[in-house]
Amino acid sequence: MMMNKQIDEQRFYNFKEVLLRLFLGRVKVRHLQSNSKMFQVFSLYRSLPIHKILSEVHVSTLSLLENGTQHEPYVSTLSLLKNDVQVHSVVLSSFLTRVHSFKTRMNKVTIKSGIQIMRALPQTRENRSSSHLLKPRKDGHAFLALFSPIIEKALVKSVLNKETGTLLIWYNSQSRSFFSQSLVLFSRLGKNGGLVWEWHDLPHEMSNFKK
Amino acid sequence: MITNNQIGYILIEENNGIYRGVALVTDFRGIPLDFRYTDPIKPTRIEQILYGGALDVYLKEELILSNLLDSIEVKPGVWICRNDSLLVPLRKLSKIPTLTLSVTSRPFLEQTGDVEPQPENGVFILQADAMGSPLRLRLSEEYSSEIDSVASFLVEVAKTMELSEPFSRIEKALKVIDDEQTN
Repeated sequence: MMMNKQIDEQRFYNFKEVLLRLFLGRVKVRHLQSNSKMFQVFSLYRSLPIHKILSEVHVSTLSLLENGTQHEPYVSTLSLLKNDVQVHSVVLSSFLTRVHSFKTRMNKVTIKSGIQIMRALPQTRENRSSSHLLKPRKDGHAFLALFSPIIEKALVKSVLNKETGTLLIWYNSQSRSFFSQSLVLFSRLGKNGGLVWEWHDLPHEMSNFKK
Repeated sequence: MITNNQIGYILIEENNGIYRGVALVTDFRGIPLDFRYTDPIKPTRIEQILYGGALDVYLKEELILSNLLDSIEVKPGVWICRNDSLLVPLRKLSKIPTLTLSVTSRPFLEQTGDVEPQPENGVFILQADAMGSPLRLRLSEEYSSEIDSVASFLVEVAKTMELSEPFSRIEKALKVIDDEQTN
């Protein structure tokens, strides 16, 4: 009975407080007695449930190393997010690409004939008077040079290039002669001087012409 | 045994990025029978980039050499060239012996026609005639066994002409052609 009475009083008190707050807009401050058993303390804190947004984060790894006895690379299929992720396509822009073709000219070459130019050019004969060879002799003359091989019967013209010491020769391309010789140049000794040309047979063996 | 009575000379050169090739075939007296040359080829910058390191080989071997050989109407018994690098492609394309040739300052060998193998594979010293210094010949290693027939052929030719002389005539001809094109 005693308990019920206290509860009724508490309810009445609470009801009275609510009405005062609503209609008078003020709270009556009362002196609290230390021995009051109606004083109740409520915690302002509430227990807040915390939910993970990211559940189970997984990392996909591509292993190129051996996995046990397997030698082939493998991929572990794991998802980063539990929920489905919506992917939206975005068109950035459209680019017009022009492709240019390049044609190389290096697959074709023009070949020309220059036989007329070549036929007009003389052949060159070097002076073959060498320290290894026995120099031709002629009384009253000094040996100057030896040009070889030259085909006398095919020879049209010859010019001694005094600067280079070479002999320029032009052949008749219609000639059928293949008999070659040496053309030896001497200087005439004495007052009259002058140059003397002389045809000599070719030595066919080294022993014929060595010192 | 080479029975042909013509000798061929090939020169393919590159100067300041300009390529060209020349082929001359003469009889055993050095009289020209056929002479062909290419127009100068100057690769553009982009062609140089696209072809890269293969440019030189492509131009010299595939383009110039191949076309020159196709255009020559008088076929020689041997081809003499100046570039060692052309020996193999020239031999394969022409199917006749090919060699490079240069005059040496070595002492004369004992007899005309003497051949002296050198330590380097495919290289030989030949006494081609009785009056000239020995010649240094190089054949491609693959075909160095052809030296005997090549040497016999060259000795025969050397009786009536100077073996290396046509190269200087080719250079003169190119100069004449250049002058004509300039004027």
